[in-house]
Amino acid sequence: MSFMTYLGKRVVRMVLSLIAVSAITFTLLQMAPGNFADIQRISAGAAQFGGAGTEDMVHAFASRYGDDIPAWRQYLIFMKGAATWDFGPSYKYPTQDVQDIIAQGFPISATIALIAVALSLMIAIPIGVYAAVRQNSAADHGTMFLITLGTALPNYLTGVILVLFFTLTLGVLPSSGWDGPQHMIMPVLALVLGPTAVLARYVRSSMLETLREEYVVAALAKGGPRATVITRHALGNSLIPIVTVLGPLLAALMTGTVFVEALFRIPGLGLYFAQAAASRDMPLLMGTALFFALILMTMNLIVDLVYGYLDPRIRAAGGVNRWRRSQKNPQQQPA
Amino acid sequence: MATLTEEPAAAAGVTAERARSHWSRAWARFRANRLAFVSLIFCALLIVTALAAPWIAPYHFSETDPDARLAPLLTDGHLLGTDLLGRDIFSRLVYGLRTALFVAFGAELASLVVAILIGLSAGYIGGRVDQGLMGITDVMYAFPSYIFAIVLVTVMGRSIWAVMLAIGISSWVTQARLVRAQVLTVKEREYVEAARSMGASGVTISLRYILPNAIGPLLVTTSFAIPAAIGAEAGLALLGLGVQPPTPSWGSMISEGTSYILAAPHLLFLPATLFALTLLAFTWVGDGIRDAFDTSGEDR
Amino acid sequence: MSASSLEVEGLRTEFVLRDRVLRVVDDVSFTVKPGRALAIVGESGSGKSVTMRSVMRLLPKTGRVAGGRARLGGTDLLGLSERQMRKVRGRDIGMVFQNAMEALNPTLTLERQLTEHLLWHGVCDRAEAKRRAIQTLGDVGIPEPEQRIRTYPFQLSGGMRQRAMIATAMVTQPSVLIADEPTTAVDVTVQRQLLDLLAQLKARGTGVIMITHDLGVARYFCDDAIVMYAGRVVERGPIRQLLERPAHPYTAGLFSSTLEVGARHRPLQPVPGAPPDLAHRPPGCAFHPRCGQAEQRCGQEEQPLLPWSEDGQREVACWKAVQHV
Repeated sequence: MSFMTYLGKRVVRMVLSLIAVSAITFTLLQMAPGNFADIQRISAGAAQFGGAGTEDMVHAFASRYGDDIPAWRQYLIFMKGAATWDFGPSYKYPTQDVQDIIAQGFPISATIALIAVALSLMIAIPIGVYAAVRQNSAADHGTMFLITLGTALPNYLTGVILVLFFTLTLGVLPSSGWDGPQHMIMPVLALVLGPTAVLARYVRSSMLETLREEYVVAALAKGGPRATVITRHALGNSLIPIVTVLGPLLAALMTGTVFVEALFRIPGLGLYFAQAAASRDMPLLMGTALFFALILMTMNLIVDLVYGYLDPRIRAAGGVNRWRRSQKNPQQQPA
Repeated sequence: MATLTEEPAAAAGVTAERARSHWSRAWARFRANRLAFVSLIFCALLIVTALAAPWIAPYHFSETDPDARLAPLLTDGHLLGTDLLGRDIFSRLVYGLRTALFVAFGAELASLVVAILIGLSAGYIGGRVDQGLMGITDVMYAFPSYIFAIVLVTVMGRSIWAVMLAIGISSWVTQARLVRAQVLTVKEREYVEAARSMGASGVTISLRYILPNAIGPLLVTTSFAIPAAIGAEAGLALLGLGVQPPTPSWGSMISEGTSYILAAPHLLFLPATLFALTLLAFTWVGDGIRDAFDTSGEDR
Repeated sequence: MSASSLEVEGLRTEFVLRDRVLRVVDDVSFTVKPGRALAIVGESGSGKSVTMRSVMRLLPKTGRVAGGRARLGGTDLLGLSERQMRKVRGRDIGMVFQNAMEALNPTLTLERQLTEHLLWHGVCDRAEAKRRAIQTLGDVGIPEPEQRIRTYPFQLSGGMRQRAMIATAMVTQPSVLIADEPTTAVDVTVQRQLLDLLAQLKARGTGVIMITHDLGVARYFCDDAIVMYAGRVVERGPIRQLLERPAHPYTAGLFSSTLEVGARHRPLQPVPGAPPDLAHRPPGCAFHPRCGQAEQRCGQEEQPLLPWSEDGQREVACWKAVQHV
């Protein structure tokens, strides 16, 4: 199987999955009780959305989907729009199209998530390597404890702990809002711990495995300085499988921003998504959910391709099928 | 014919024997792990507290005390203070624990049932059924689980059952895959073939031979899924999508606490601390279970 | 290249386990002179490889050298600092491993793996290193070395890979080459070519230590041999003499079972029974439970190495053999 065939198959499968995801979401949301207008009427503090706003929404809905058309036709209309990147107006923000809201919110979420991922890599690789090289030392046990913390605590709880510490105890850093770098510090830190734990765990176990390889002994037998052998011979090979976790990790970070953005009141895509769910803003909910799924699948695809590039055994084979079979399943590694 | 009837029975006896010693060795290893054992005791205490919440909590969770709003710690009658509406924090923490554990255990039970049903049918029947079911899990895998849970809550409303179901449905995929993999490895073993040759039905074989083998790994994943589900429940509540107020949830308590962080920091501090301790304890129990079943012993 | 001998004397190596200490190499001595080849023969677990790892000071974390000397041209390697030892590894002593597939890094090119130690040791600059690497690849019989040097190990056939690994050890022109079962992983025709390659090296004055349980290989290539059992040397001498008249019952058992070439792929099972678990080393002569000629005395007395021939070239650790001289 050539590379292009592989890529083609993956893209087709991705599109099919996206259609499935959209159909599931759409069907589910059709069954949801209550609509946007009801929620707004119930909601006491909804003066700004009441009256004209609600009328606008109903009008917008009718103009896009027509009155009283069956659900499946609504779905087709929605998908037709989605295919051309047009999700129609939001209920809650009738003057804005969903794709514009995504375009506004996504860069903010992506910024936080990417900074967090970069930071976690910078932290996790050195401590994972160090823990592996000094297996069973105090540093190793400390790393394992950090890993447990990162696995156990959800990012918003880490965020709360940060708020209690920085805002309350030290009186520095604002606890909410989005206006300049000082607003970025705590959300990013809150997001960093989890991925750092996942990555450090992988680096450590992958490194432990690599350090037992004979080529590491062989490099030492050639007179290589320990540090050089660890960085050149062991680290490189240990990091290749790490790439496979990066995809799911980035996706987890992207969706994880939902909670952190809610906690710190950051106007990212996650916050819009949560608000859309709370107020049953169906177009916005559909659009953001699909967008999240798209991001997740794209990440996984990119990561698979990068993995293929990094390992010369695969690169040279010219095809991807061979390495897909040979690649180690990261799930099998002891944690 | 006599040998044919005896053989599978003998084989089953052998596996049962092996299984027993396997379990007792795992338990011995678990008990030797001090952190895990202490965590287990702590978790047991939490569970008892949750079950006995009405007797342990001095007030009902929605009972307000108009004379004591935002009371600080150690107030007379309100050991841990009160919230904005004058509701007793200690009582709300205890009932919040009840919500968290009820949702988490219920969700994981639901997820386990779905996972076992799907995994067993996919692995045992194979063929098109397998392809179809695994196709579904593939799509679910592509769907970020939090996002799916949020969509589900939106659809099903905010009753405690809906929250439970939403979390359960969005987390069964990994376990279904695990069950299927287990089935595929056990299916071809001789004693299973022998049982099948005697005309044992698929259900019998699944329950008697395949499932017992899958319990160890399932226990490990479930023990890690419980703290994750507790986290998910609180996360949904934080977003305003959790159980309907006034039913307390640590997530909504935290969310309220952030609003009064300067006036009444204990509103944030107490639920966050209890929440963190609970998650850590359940995670350490999970670590202990994993290590107890991990016979490779290389990586601790 | 300075031609110097490697003299190992009374080497003791231990592994520290959780609850006890295992002595895996006990009082092992041997000498490798320039241009000579020594075979270390024994079943797996007899301590052959650990002996060589001790000399290279590349033991796993739980291992430690508890005594003895390993002199290379007068300096005791066991007394060197880690920094000084590093200069010996790869420059003065080269190592060839059993399986090139595992001993070559799969993600680095041959160029990198053939030149990096020249640069580490400051032997020459990068351009010269590359020139030498290509030269050596050609010497070991790899066609088109200029092109091949850019490839990765997995792109070579098994035999070529093994040659490439020998080339990595040769490129620095070490005084001593340690080859740990270098031909076990390849087929018979390739085996012969690799041995001829090592023979050329020997002819140029390199001392070679070959760890093997293949006596066909040892006889073809080596001059002297030591036979190890349960961490100790049980017999030593010129390999031809050993083969003609083995003195120790263990050596005799080893030789009688595998003399024909091609038998090497079978695990060596010279004598009934299994080699002892070092944690439960039998008292007296460790071999006596498996020995057909054992008497009561064998299970009671430790057996030192004693001279067995007039010229003192042969030694054996068996009182019965010594009696029969």
